[in-house]
Amino acid sequence: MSTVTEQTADSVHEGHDHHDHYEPFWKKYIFSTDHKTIGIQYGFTSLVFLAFGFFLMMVMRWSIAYPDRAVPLLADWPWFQAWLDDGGKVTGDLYNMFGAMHGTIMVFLGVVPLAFGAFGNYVTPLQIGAVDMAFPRLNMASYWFFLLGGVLMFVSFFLPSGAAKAGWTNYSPLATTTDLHYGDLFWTGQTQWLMGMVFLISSSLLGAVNFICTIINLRCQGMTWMRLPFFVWAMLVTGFLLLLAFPPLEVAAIMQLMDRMAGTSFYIPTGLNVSGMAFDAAGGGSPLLYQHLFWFLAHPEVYVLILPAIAIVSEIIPCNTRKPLWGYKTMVYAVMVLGFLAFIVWAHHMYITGMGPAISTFFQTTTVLISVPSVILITSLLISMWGGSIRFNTPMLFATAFIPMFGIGGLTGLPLAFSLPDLHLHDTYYVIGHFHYVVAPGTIFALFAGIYHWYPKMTGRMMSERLGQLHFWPSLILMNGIFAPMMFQGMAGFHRRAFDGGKAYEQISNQVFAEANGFIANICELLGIVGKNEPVLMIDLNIVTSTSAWLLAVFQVPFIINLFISGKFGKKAKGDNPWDATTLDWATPTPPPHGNFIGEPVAYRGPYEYSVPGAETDFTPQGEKDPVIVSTAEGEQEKPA
Amino acid sequence: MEIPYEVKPRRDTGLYNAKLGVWLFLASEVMLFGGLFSAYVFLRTGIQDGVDNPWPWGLNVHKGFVWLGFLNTLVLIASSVGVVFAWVALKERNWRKYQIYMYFVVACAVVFMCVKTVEYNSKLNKHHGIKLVDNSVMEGTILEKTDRIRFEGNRAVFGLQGALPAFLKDISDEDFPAFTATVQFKDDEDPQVTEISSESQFKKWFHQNRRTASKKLTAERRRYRAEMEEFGKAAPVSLNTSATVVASEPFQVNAKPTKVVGHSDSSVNYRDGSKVEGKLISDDVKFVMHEVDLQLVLPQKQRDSIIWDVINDESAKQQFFAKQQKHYEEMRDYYEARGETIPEKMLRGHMLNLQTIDHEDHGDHEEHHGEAPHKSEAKHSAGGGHGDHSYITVPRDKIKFMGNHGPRYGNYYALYFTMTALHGLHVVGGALVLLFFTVFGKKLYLKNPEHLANRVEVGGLFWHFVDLIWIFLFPLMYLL
Repeated sequence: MSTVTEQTADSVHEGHDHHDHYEPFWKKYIFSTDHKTIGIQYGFTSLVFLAFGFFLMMVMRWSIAYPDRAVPLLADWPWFQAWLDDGGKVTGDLYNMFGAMHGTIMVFLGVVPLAFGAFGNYVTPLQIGAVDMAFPRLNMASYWFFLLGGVLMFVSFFLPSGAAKAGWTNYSPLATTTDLHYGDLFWTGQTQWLMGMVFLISSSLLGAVNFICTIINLRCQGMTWMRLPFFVWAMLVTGFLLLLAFPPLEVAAIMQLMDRMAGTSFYIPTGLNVSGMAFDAAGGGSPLLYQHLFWFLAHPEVYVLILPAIAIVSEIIPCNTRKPLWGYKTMVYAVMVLGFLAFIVWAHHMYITGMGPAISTFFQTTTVLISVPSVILITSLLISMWGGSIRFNTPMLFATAFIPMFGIGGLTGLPLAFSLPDLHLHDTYYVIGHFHYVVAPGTIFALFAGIYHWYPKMTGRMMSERLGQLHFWPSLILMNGIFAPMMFQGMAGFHRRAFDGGKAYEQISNQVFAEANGFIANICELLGIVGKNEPVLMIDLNIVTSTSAWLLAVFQVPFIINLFISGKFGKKAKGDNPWDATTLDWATPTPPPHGNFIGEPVAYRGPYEYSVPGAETDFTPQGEKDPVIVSTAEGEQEKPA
Repeated sequence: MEIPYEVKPRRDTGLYNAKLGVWLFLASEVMLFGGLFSAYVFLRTGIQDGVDNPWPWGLNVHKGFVWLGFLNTLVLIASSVGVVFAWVALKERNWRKYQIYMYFVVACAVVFMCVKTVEYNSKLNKHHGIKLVDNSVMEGTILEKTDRIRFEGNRAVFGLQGALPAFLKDISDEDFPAFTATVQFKDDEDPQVTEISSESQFKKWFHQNRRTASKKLTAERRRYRAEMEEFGKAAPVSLNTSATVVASEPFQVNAKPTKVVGHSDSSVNYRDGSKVEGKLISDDVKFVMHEVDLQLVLPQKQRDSIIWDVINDESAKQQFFAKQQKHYEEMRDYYEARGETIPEKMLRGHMLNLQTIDHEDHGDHEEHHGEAPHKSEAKHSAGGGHGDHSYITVPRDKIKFMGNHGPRYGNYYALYFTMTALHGLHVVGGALVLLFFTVFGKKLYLKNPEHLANRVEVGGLFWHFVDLIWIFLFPLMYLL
C-alpha cells in the first residue's frame, strides 16, 4: 500500500473477492495470521492459564492456613486422590508441585503472553499505522509454539510423576535429581517442564523478532521515532529483552535436559550424594552455573513483566487526564536505560550463593542504579496526573492504583538489593510479598486496565462500568490483604517454602503481630481468625492472607461476567474513538478489519496532543490534519502556541 | 492486503523486513551459543585440582580425528563461499548456475554431518573409561554389554503405582518369559492370578491393575476420612499395592547400573522400587585396557593404588613408574635450564600424569615426551596399537564410575556433544531451508527473482553464522 490509488484498487478487488472467498471459522479464528486475532487468541489462552495458576495458589494457601485440615471440595477428585494424603490434607509433594507450577504458569503462560503477546500484538501495529505484523505467519507460529508449550506444562500434571516440583526456578542439582526413580525419565514432570520451556522460549523468540521488525520497518508515514506512543517504545525494549535474555535460559534448559536424560554433570558437583547414595555422575559441574544462566534470563524477565504494564498505563493516564504524557522523552530514554541495565543486575538474586564480595558489590551497584529509570517512569506517570481533570472510569481506576502498588513493590525491593539485609530476607515471605506487589496488583492491574480500555476497540461495545467498579474496589483491598501480611511475616523470618505455613517454627510463628483489642485484632476477631480478646500472632496472618486470596477469586467473577456479557449486551461504543484518544489505534474502524486502516494512515504530530490551546476539541488525533494548528515547520508543532 | 517492504528495502532503515529479522535472530543465536561458550569457560576455569576430573586436551581426545575436524572446517568454509556464489548467480538471473551452487552447499552439509557421525561413533562405541574407588582411572574398551549387571531372574516384585517397573526394559525382547502374575490387595481377599506371555500383555495387565489399585485406595481413603469425621479416630489406610510375577523358566536381565540401587547374589534392586530375584550370573566388567590415569591420586598413594591389584601385572606397574620418573626428570631439566623451580601445581600435575602401558610386548606407543612439559600437564597419553584382546576383569565393587566417552564421561565430553550436536542441528536446519529454496524456488524465481534472491541472502546470512560458530568450536574442542 504505497499509494492511495493502489489502495482503492485493492479494495475494489477485495470487495469482489468477498463473495467467493468465504473464510471458514477455523481459518478466520483458529489458524489466523491477522495480528488482532492472534492477539485475542493470546489473550484468551493466557487468561485461562492465569485462572489455572490462581487455582493452584488457592490450594497452596489452604495448606498454609489450615495445615491440619483436609482440603475442602477437592478430596474426591480422582487426580487429587493420588496426591493428597490419607486424611485429604495437602502433602509436601503436592505443595511443591503447585508452587513450582504456579510460578511457571503465572510468569511464562499468564502474564507475559497477556502483556506482550496479547496487548503487544493487538495494539502495536495499530498504533504505528501498520497493516499487520512484519511476519504474519511467524506470528501465528509463535502463538502455536506458546500453546504447545502450555499444553505440555499442563499435561505434565497427569503423568505418574506429576508436574515439576523443584520450584519455578528449577535449581539444579535438585531439579536434576528429582523423580529419577521413574522408569521413563522423559515422561516425568521435571523433564516435561524443560521441554515446555523450549517451546515457550522459541515462541517468545519468534515474537520478539517480529515485534522489533514491525516497529522498526512498518511505521507509517510521518511516524518518526519521537512520535511513537510510549506503549510502542516499551514494547520495543521488551522485545529486545526477550530476544537477548531468553537464549541463555534455553541453554540452561538444554544443559539440564542433558543432565537428566544423558547423564551429563553440567550442574552436578563432584561427590554429590542423593538420599545417602553417591550420585552416579562424573561430577565437576557447577550448580552456580545454572543460577547464573537462569537469572540472566529471569531478571530481564521481571522487566518483561513490568514494562508492558507501564506501557498500558502510560496510554490510559494521558487519555483520561486529558493532558499530554509528562516527560515523554525522558521516559523514552529511561526505558532504554532500563532495558540496558536489566542485563547486568541478575546476580542480585544470588547474594547468598557465595559468589564473593567483589561480584556482590558490582551487582549491588547496578541494582541500585536501575531504580533510577524505574522511578523516572513512575514519577512521570504521577506528574502526568497533576492538575488534570481526571475521568475516573474503570480503566483509569486500575491505572491509578497501579502506581502506588508498583511503588510499594519497587521500594520494598531496595532492602533486597543490598547483600546484608538480603541475608536476612532471602527466601522469606518478604521476597514473595515484594515480587507479587510488583506483578499482581502492579502488572495485573495494568492488564485489567488495558482490557477495559481497549475492549471497545475490539468489540465495539463498552464494558459495564458498574461491574468494573465491583471488580476494582474489592480487588484493590484484597490484593493488599494478601501481600501486606507477607511483608510482616517475611521480616519475622517466615520461610517461603514451608508447606505447613510455618508451624514448624514455633518461636517465630508465635510472635505477636497486633495486640488484642487493637484495630487489626478486632477485624480479625470479626472474621473469626482469632478468638475474643486474643492478640493476632504472626501465624494468624496466614489465614488473613488465604482468606483474602479466596475472596479475591470471588471478586474476579464480575470481571469474567463483564468480559463475556458486554461483548453482546454492553453499551454500544460511541464511534471508533469512545475515549477521545489521540493515538492511531483509535483511528481505525471498530473492530479493525483485516488490514486495519481505511486509506493510508499518516502521523502528523506527537502521540499525546491533549488539550492543545486553540484546538477545537481537547484532543488532537495523531492521524488528523488539524485545521486549527496548521504548521509549516515540524518544530512548531511541539510547542504550544 | 500486502505487507510493505517484503522485497524492497525501506528508505530510512535501508533494510527489507526479512533481513532485519534475520539479523535480530542471529543476535539471539549469539546469545544462545554465547551461553554455551560461557559455560565452557565457567566449567573449565572452575575445576578444582585433585577433586574434579582434569580437563582433557582436545588433541588427545580426538586422537586420529583432529584432521577430520579440520576437514569439516574447510567443508563449511567452502559451502559458505558457495552460498555467496549462488546468491550472485540469482542476481545475474542465472537459474542453472544458482542451482548448481546450492546443491554444492547442501552436499557440503551432508559431508559435514557424515564426518560428525564417524567421530561420534568412535567416541560412543569404541572408547570407555573406568574410575575406580580410589579415583584412579583406566581407559580402554569395555567388551560388549559387560557394563551391565547380568542376572538370571525368576521372580520380580514391584509396585502398582506410578510408571511401569524399570526391570521390564532390561529384559531382551526375544526371550520375554511367560509369567504368572499375582496381585493381592488385601490380606483377606483372594489373590488374583494371571498368566502373561508377552510384553504387551504385561503392560495391559499392569495398567488394568494400576487402575484397580487407585480405585481401591480412593475407597479406603474415603472410609478413613468418613470415620475420622464421625469418630475422631479411624483404622489407618492399608492396601497392599505391590504385585509379584513368577517366571516359568529363568529369564535374563541385563540391568543398567545407573538404574540399580544395589544388588546381591540373589536379587537386584531398582531405583523405582522394583526388585528381581534369582541368581547373579556375573557383575564383573571385562575391559581391554590402554591407559592408566592417576592424576586424581595423591603421589604418595600411587604405588598402593588398587588399580595395580586390578591389572595384576607387575611389569606394567614398573613401566608406569619408570616413565613417571623420566617425566619428572624431563620436567626438572626443563625448568632448571630456564633457572626456575618447578611450580607446585605443575609438579603435582606432572607427577600424577597418566602413562601408557605396554603389555610387555607391543611398543608402538606414541612418543610425547619431547613436547614442552606445560602442554602435557593435562594430557591423556595416546595408547597405540594393542591388537590383542587380552582383557582384564574389573570387579564391580571396585568401580566408582564408568562409561563410554559420551556426554556422561565428563564436562569436556558433555560440552563437546551438546555444542556440536546443537551446531549440527543448525547445519541440518540451514541445509533443509537452502534445499527448499533450490528445489521449490523456481516458481518464485519466475514470479519475482529479487524476492528469491532476498531469501537466499537471508538464508546465506544464517549459513555464514553456522560456519562462524564452527570456526570457534573447532579450536575450542579439538586443539585447546
